[in-house]
Amino acid sequence: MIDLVAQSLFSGVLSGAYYALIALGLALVFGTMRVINLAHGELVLLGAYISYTAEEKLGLDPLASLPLALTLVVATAMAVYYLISLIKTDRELNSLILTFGIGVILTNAVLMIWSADIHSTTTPWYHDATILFDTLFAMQAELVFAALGIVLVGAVWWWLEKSWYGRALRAVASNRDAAKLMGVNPQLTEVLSFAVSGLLATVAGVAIYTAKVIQPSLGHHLTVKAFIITVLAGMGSVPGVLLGAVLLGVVESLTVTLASSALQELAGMVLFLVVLLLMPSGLFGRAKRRG
Amino acid sequence: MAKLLDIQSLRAGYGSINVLWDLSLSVEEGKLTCILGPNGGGKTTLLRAIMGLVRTDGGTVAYQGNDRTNASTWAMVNDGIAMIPEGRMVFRDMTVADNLLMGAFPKKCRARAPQNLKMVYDMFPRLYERRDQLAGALSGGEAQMLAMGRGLMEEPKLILVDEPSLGLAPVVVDEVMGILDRLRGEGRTIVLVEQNTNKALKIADHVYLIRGGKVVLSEAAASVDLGRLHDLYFARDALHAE
Repeated sequence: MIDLVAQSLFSGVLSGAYYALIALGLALVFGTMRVINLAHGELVLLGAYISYTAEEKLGLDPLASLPLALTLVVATAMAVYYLISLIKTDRELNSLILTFGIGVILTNAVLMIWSADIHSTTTPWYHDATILFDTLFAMQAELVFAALGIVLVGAVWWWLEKSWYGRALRAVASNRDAAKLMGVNPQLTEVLSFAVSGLLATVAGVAIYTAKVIQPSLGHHLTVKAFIITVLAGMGSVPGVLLGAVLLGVVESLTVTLASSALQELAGMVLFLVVLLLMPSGLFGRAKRRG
Repeated sequence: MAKLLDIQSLRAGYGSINVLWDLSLSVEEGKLTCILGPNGGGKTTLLRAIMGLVRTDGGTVAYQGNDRTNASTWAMVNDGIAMIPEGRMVFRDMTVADNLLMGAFPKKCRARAPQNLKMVYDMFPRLYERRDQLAGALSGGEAQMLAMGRGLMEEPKLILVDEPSLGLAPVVVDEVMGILDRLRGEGRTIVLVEQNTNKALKIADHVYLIRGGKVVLSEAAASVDLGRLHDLYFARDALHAE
């Protein structure tokens, strides 16, 4: 029993790493633009399917397909940004409708191009098992992408904290007019946040393609998960996103182990509601300020 | 002395509400120009229009002899204009040090950011003590110091200061005015928007009084008659006009 729980915790942490990649992209865009990109999960899905095609048609290893997937997904993210930038009034509300629509279109485009069949990598190496500490089991793919995920989240954190443009991104999120007065063009930071969000989505997509299975309806579920994590974290905290992602991964994984896999999605939602009820500004969010 | 900033017949406002009505004024290099006037007179709108934060509907803004009407805010900043906005507008959820570094965002300021940071910390030791705290935790006076320090990190040729004394204790107001006086002494060009007439007049070279979106008085600070200034300020001239 202890072994089962330990295994379950470990798998949850591994899932948390790619959940964090997805959620961080959503949180970045929300932070700079106050836009919740409901098509974010579909960007992840697109990355996964491009990786699938590259492996199937060109014989590329999923990791080697990253540059191609990155190019196409970031280009799509730019197109989404361009469409959002056309909104002239009530951007917060109208962008929800727009990005929801884009998500539906992307899901159906994936369905048309790739059909509803489920896929996973055919390179056996990724599915090979590794045993850690004699008891914990993981697929190679899970370990590779968990490591890559943590490195990427760390890199984005460093970038936000220490670089000129990362700092500018936070400044725009904090006070848009004041950021302009520092010589920042807010549109440039918005483009940047979308590009980084596309980059993170691509890596997450390839991670899902190698460690799990992909199918066209997945995008929407991923958006919901990313949204839950962002709220768990409290808006605008990178370590919070990582911990929120691991928490969701662990809760889902424990639910599957101890109860039933049918309850996995429900467990995430219950976690979400409990945190919203007890800690409305999130686990790591700053308390609401006066004024 | 050369005119650093020259504004001609400027019209600006918010949507269908016009605030500035054909306002003209100019700022000489190396001087402290003070803009006084009652609430709602258009002082803040004027500064925001110069910086491109408010759309203009007519007239021109020239800086260093070049037409900069409706230039983007970031372009004005890159040209060397810093605005220290009303209500400080610090980045509340960033640290004091990160706030100051944001001031050095323009590419030409980045290389000298460490020296300028030291200069600002020397000028405002309180900011150095609180460098790792969130700006949202600062007192009003400290936040004003931070906003000023952040503006100085931009290495500005022209500093627009909007109501720095707002909501501050008198002793802190004196400190803020002292710093502006010192900056003027260093040869910087400053535009100071104030409601605190007496304190502003003491450090100003030239005074404009703006009321109802128009300039109603333009005089050298030394020759301003306080009685007449207050009459104009409170629109008592209109009563006596007939």
